[in-house]
Amino acid sequence: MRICLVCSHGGHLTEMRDLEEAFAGHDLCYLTYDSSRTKDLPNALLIQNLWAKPWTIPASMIMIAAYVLKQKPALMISTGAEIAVPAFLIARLAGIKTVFIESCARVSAPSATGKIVYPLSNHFFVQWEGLLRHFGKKARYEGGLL
Amino acid sequence: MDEIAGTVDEPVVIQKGTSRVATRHAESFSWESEELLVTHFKNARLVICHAGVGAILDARRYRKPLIVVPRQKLFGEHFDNHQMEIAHVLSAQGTVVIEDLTELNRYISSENLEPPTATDNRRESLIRTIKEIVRSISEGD
Repeated sequence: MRICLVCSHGGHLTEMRDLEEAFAGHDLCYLTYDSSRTKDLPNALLIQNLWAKPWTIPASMIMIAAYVLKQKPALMISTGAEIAVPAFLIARLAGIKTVFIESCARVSAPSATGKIVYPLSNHFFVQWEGLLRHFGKKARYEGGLL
Repeated sequence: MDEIAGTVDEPVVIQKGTSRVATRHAESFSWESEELLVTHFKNARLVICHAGVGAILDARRYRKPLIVVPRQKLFGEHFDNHQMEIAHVLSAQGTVVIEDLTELNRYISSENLEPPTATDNRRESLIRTIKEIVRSISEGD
């Protein structure tokens, strides 16, 4: 099964890597930011940082849509951050299942990304139990990376 | 850290991101490829980092003793204090966390520093859950 992994290039990518046992053996493609850390990823769409360069959002939305239509993943998994927002919007329009994992850094308060993508997620996980009260019934706590 | 690098015998490598400080004693770089970053981690005796989940996970992955210095809003290091939250969690797990940089010297030469303890149950549980979702979707359940 093809899975699209969506994350920004720093700690969120490291969290995604720490989860890789969960999707090992599947056909993986990445949607992430262009950086020295991500430039060697074998199957990836690298876009400009949407937070740092918000004027790139329209062009990036088109690139993400084209990439998703070409790759046709059955599932999209994201560990954040804001790159998940356009990705999940497009995924939901395309009928692709979505899984969001709130960052381990979010101990007592959710991220803005988490709050925005919650309604766009088929499965939504927080990594600290105390965070559940910030979300609806769909949110689950099943452990965390730290 | 650059000042400390001038006082210790071992090499100090600093990843400085957007900082424009030119180091005099330590080797430094802004960003590097994943391959080179991994090499630095593997070669390190000790990792000193901000309370960023990525750096902490990497220290655990490569089993390196860790000192965590959380970024604080007070010093203009971050837009809020959310790093203090993960720092408190780590401190409760036994990781050295310092907020006062004058304490750094005291810990650097310590031989009692431990890699971050793997909270295996929590991690295994999350991975198992996601793995099950992946399996279910791939089998069209």
